[in-house]
Amino acid sequence: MDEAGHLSDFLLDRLRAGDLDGPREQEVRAHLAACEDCRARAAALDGQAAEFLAGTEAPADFARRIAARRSERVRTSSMRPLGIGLAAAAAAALIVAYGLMPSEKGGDRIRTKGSVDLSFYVDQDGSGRPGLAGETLREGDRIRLAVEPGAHRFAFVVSVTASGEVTPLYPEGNGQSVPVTAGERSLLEGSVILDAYLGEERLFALFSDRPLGAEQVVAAARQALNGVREQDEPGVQSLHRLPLEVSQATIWFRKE
Amino acid sequence: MTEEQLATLYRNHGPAVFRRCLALLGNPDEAQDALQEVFLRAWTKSGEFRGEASPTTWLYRITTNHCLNRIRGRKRLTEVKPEHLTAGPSSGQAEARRVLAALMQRLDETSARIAVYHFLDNMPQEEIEEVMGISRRTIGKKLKNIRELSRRLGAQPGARG
Repeated sequence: MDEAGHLSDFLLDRLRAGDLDGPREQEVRAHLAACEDCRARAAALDGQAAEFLAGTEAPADFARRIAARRSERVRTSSMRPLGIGLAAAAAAALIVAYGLMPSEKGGDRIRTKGSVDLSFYVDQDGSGRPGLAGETLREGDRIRLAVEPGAHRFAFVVSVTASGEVTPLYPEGNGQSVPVTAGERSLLEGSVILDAYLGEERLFALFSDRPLGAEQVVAAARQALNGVREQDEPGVQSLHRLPLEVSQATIWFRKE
Repeated sequence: MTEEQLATLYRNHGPAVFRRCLALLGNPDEAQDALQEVFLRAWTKSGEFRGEASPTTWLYRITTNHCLNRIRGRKRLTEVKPEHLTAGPSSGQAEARRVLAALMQRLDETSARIAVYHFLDNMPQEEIEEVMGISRRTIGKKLKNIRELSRRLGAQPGARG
């Protein structure tokens, strides 16, 4: 309820969608019964909703179209659920093909022997150049990720952005950590095409001896992001670790 | 999420998502495109939704993030003009859009979102807290800064505290 004592569109949207809990729904309905202004606003929103649904494609058609776009996007970005890291020999060959190891520039990738690491390559004309921590990339750029899992057997890579987006990359969607070969550097299958979300983006590789679930990782990333966003100058640059008791490596870049 | 579940989500929330896309972007064609992107992202990130109490809250957040990114993306091509933020559902939002247009390029990510919820959606602080998941104290502090900035820019926000 706002200071003028009226219901916000947010509450009216929630009422119409049926996702207010019992006591809150009763409170909102009681207010509507007593407030002519809010009843009028609710009726106007209901009218707009009905007009919108009548004037556009049926929900089933919309869902079908979104499903088609989704499968097209997944194919385009080659971001299929992984299931496996590359075999050591294949990974070694790919790293040769991709040239030098990614630069350590950026200051937040201090490595010791046997430690874990995450790095990326920027795909250009079929070959990869090593990505630099903190470098500026653009929408549509294609990157490939490489991980060093140390002694661990599973890896999970998740992206967090300064705008609060949390996206599991490996595996994509709602799966579990992918198996990797302990002690071997692996170039992960498929590439990631950067989307239109601008600003800073940080990737975390989480290494463990048992698979982590996407829900657990996303919840931890959200918790960490909320902590950063409480600061006066929020940004993912200052986010160096997710609140999970596993080995982690991280790298960030900026999208413009 | 199945295709059928997505259709239900769209039936229940599509109108509100489109209304907010239009209010933020000011262009019906772009709002339609944003609507599809929001539901595409919602589907892709449906695993994330499991921890959310309310699909409305979740979709408000995705919509705001997506539209602000579109608006910020325009910066490279052209300055954001007030008309980019027009065409909202109520005449009372004209001033809010004018304020947002003035502030948008000067605010950090979190403050820009707070400004949208506060000035465009007219949400009180407890609802902004619910959608953004950050403390009321932070919201209050940032709103104070936003108001100071808007005063310096000569754009007077509404009276809601």
